Amino acid sequence: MFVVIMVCARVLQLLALACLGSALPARVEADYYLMVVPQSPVLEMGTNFTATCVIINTSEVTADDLYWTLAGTTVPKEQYTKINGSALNVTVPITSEKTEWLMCKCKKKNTLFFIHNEGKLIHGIDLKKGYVPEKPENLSCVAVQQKQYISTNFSCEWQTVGRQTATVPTSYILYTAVLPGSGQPYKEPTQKNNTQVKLGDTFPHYMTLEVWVEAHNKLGKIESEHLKEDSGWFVKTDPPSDVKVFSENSFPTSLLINWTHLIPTIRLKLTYRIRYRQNGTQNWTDVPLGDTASNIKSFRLQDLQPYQEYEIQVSCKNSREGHGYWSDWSTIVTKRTPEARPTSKPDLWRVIAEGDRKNERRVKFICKDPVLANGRIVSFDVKIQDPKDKVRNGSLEWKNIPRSSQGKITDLKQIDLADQKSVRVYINATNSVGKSDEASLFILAKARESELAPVEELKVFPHRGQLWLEWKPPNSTKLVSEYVVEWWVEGAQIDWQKEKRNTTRTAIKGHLDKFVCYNVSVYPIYNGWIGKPARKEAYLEQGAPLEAPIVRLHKAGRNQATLNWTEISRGSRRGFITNYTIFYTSGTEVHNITVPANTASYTLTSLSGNTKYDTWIKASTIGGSKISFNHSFTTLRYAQGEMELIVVGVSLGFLFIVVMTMLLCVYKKDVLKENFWPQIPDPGESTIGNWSPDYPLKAETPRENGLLGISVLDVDVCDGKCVFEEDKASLSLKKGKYLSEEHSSGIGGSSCMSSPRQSVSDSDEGGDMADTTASTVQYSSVVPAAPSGYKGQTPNSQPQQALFSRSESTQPLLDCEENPDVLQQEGSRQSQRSPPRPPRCTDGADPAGIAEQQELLEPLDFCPLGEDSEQATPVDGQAADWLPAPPPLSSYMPQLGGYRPQ
Amino acid sequence: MAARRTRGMTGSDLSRATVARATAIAELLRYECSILLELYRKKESFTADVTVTESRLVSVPPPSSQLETRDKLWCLHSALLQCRSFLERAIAKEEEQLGGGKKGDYETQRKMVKERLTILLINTGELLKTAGGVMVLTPSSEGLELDGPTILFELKLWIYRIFEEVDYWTKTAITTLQALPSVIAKERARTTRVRSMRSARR
Repeated sequence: MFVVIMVCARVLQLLALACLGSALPARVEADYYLMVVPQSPVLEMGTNFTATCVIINTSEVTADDLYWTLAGTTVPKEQYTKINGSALNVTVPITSEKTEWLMCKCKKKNTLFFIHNEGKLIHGIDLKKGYVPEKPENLSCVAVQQKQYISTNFSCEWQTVGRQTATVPTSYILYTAVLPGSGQPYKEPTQKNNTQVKLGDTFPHYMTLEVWVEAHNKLGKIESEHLKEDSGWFVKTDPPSDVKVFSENSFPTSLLINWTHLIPTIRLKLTYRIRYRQNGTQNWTDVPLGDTASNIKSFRLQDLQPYQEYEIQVSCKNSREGHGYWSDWSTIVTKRTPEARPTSKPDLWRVIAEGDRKNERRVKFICKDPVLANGRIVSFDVKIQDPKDKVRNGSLEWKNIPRSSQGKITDLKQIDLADQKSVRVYINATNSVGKSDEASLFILAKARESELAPVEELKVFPHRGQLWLEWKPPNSTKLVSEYVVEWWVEGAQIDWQKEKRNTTRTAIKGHLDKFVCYNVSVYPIYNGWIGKPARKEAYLEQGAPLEAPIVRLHKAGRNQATLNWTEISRGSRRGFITNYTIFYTSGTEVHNITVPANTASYTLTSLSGNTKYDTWIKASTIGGSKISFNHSFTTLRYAQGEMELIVVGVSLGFLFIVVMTMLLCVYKKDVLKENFWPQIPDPGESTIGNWSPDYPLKAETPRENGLLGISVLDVDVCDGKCVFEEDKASLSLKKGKYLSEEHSSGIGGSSCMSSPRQSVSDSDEGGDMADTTASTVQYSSVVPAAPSGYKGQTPNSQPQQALFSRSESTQPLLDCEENPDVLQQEGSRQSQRSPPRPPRCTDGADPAGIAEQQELLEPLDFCPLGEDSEQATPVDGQAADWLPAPPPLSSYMPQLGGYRPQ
Repeated sequence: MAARRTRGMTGSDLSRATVARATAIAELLRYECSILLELYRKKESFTADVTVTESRLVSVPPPSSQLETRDKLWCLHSALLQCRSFLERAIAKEEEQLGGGKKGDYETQRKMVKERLTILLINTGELLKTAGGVMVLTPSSEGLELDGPTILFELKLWIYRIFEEVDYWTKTAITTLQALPSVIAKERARTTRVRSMRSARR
């Protein structure tokens, strides 16, 4: 079959080509050498399209020179079919909805004809693509009411099916025929899926309307199912107008409804439906349609509650079965039924609080209007009776208490009741028509309350905007007659509701606020005796707390800190706190710790010492969380007791040093004495003759400074023996070097005895020499300095002269080292100018002699404080440099050897 | 209400339904005609003493019980056709003489009556076809006073008379149509019996 169709199509195409040859306008022939047929095709998506390129008016080009492009892309040769030498077919699948150009082109050739006619060797067609329209579905029409008529504007809508493209859009025509009739159907074209058609000048009541939609585009057309119905089938009227409701005092459970309708019955017979509900409720009650089926204009609602406001609505439609649409509902009309005597008991309850006196309760009786109050309750009659009194006095008098004008709960009476006493209270409610039956309640002696078992496994939970309760009946042999569910919020009046004896699950019916904690109790009532309650706290809905806890540092350590936080006030919690999350950071990473809701303190550990921390706390409920403000604290530098430990350690160390020092002083008293208070040789005892180079020079430790002396003492402690006893000779040389470096005069052994400046300068001058030639050079350098240092000083006493004589006498002494003979002579010459002075280098001088020498020196005032202090620092420095460094000692060793022959 | 397929109807149902429909349309036309008369009287301030002559404008013998249903329907249809012609002429004359003016309730009602009359004619035509299967010829307008008077008062009375005529023939239509179902049933029974007798004789 498909092949036959294809062949037919091909034959038709060839015929078209044949016609094309003769039918092409002369101008086209002149302008182009190629022609594509068919021109401007509209193609169905998903099909294959075959086009033919025909070469006209030239034999320079053949079908072999042709090729096709689709949307700029060359079509593969497999899709070509050569018809003859001047015609080439191409078959392309139609897959894209976009409009595309199919071009027939000629391959480039280097012929003169091609070069001159390149622009004429191309031709193309625009491929418009679309979908065949599909049958519209779900056609529906409506004729609405317009004043007392049915409008002739007939509105229809339908569901479009299938796809369409922008280039091949689908249009629709709505046809409406009035039957019987010989006229043409009304037509209304549209691009959308709905439209209106005007049915003449009047709505064709009682006639038949046939409606259908035609979907059409360039690829075809199709009609929807025909909708053929009585015109009344399409009518939608307005709701009844002027709906009125009347109440009659003699019928407290009935209301009469009247209405009218603008549409005359002759034009359209209507049926009605009525619905009503108690004001404030959600659910409507429908009057059975059978009761309102006839063409009525009034209806009486029955079996209503007395003294209740009812909302009533009426709607209508064509009374013919299955015809017409229901109108919208009329506007709500509210009417209250007349009053009747209360037909149920008032809802009595009590609130028990601690009494002013011991062993006494304060009982307040409260009540609500009867559920079936059937009117406005104006007052309650109350009677409170002691069971014992009943026996004695019979019945007491009733007390009339007016109903509370505020709220639904009336406070009846408050009594102070001894714990061991029980009472029974009776109540009835009165409205303008009559009194209700009596309700009663027992208040047991306190001790007996616990005898009446509570409900078990009470659960309170929110569900779909209500607070639900579930419980299991009390495990008691006594029969529960009913339950009372009580709920209250701190600072607000309690509310309650009664549930039947077989109830184990209920929702609180009163108004509850979100984010408020309610205390919910369930009391089993045993024939008027109130059992022990079961209690729970619950929220209707939980939210994030309004305020966050205030977090404070309680105690800080070096690596830990204890935080305290306040409890959120009950009103601000807005939910059960599930946990607290403590956050803390020292600036880089934020740490958090979650702690249970019953925690109010936490110790953070693993903190860094002496670090500032920011901390905050988040209180969470299942409804959200609230974060507190930051609180900053700084951890301690030392842990608790660490400081004390350090102080104690330092103290002990100091004490040890002191003790050791003292011990040292005690045990090394002689050494210390020798170092700090050295024996100064008595110049008087000094004789030049006693001194010789071979005479071992006694170690003459520098005594300029006590500390230096201690250092020396240390050396002594370590190497004392080798220094002072075993190697005195080398030490003497070392001392000599030391003296040289210290720039001491070497005469007195004390810096006080000579000018340090002189020594330094001298030393600088002859430093190198000192290293090689030993003390002779030193002394020789000292001698010229001494006179210059004392220039201008006129010695006016003998001892002074003696001192200077001694200084000067050193030079010859040194000279004598080299030449002992000359030394003798020079010494005698010196002694003529100044008294002879014993050489400082001798260590054999007795203390007495030293003392005498000091006595001689003191009057001279030769060691000013300034000079002394000036000298002290360099000496110390030198000593410090010298003490730890042994090289100088070793460096002198060769000198020692070199010196000895002298 | 979604689209529903056309329900098939039997010939008997069709006849009965067509008669019922035609009756309902005639009743509606009568109601609308009465409103039109009321509006016209109100418009022209005609009091109750303004009456029209007893003579009929439509020249068709009144349907008689002696006539066959087809003839009754033919008479009725013919009379209604003439009524429509008069009505169209009256509307044209009124607009020609008195000007188009604004379209009020009267004009709307007048147009509605004309269209309803046309609908009724379609239905009586259908009934006529059903009843006799004879083509109904449109009655000649010759002899009808379609031109109307030229004097304004007379013109107004003429228009009023046409409305009255439409009202009269609408009432007649109702009466005739209400009597039709039983007649059709009887005639159909009789026709069936005659045919069966004829076939028996053959």
